[in-house]
Amino acid sequence: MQDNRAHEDLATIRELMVETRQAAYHGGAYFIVWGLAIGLGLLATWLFVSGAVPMPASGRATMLVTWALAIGLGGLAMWWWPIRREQRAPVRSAGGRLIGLNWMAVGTSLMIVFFIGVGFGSLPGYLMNPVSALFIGIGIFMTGVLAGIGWIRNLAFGWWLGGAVMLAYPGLWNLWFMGLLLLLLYMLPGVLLARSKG
Amino acid sequence: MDFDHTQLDDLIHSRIRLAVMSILAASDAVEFTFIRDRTKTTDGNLSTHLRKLEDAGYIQVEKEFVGRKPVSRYSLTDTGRQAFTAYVERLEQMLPGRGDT
Repeated sequence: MQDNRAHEDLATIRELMVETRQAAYHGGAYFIVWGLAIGLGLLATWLFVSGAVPMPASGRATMLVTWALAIGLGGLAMWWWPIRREQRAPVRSAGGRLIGLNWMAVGTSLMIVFFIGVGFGSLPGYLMNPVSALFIGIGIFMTGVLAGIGWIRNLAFGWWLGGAVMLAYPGLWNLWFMGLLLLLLYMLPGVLLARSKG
Repeated sequence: MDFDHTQLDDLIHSRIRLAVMSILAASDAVEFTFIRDRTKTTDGNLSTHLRKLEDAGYIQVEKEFVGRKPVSRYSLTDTGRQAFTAYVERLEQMLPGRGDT
């Protein structure tokens, strides 16, 4: 009977510590906002590339401006007060900071690949979708590991598989496929995370 | 080895204070409201327990304003972290088959 108390106390300690570590990460709004911004970028890219909307400038310049606007929009939205308030995690931890830094590293790497690689013409633009999927997979994987949320970590395998498929079969359809990945493996989890935090 | 509460740190060995220490041990700093919600206690009751831990030098508090709202953030001191680690180790030793001799 007495041993049960020690068992119960240790179980309570473990449970509270796991909950606290997970609470250090309030990623729901981030996923939704960046998912929308990237989704808009993908839609605009498809409209231009498919010819549905004529490009106002050269293909490369149009894409650079389109994505600069999409990324700028995402960044601006993150500074929007209600989102910042929702994002303010009640728990500060090294893990939470590492998750933020992880996404900063992913975002910086992708911007270099796009604005330098595609901008200078050394990387074909159609490779951005698979490359982005692979990088997002890294970000998702590290987020899941650091936050201790297994199902988030496992979403990375979907991103990596999607990236591999797009690398193997490049084409205009990649834009729609990327949009689907974004919706199912990024924004939807963002909604679930935001709801789970109440 | 039987569960013997006299071998445990009295200050931590209360349901609410143990919960507070566990929450703080998993973080750098935690807001008052988060601790209150997780420990399912009232503001007044939690404040009393927090003060006891603070008086013992186990935790420290930082108060700041976020917008116009006052926010209290609690964190473990080095002494508190050591005490919590010792407490958990002692508990583990009390489990059947893991007792000290």
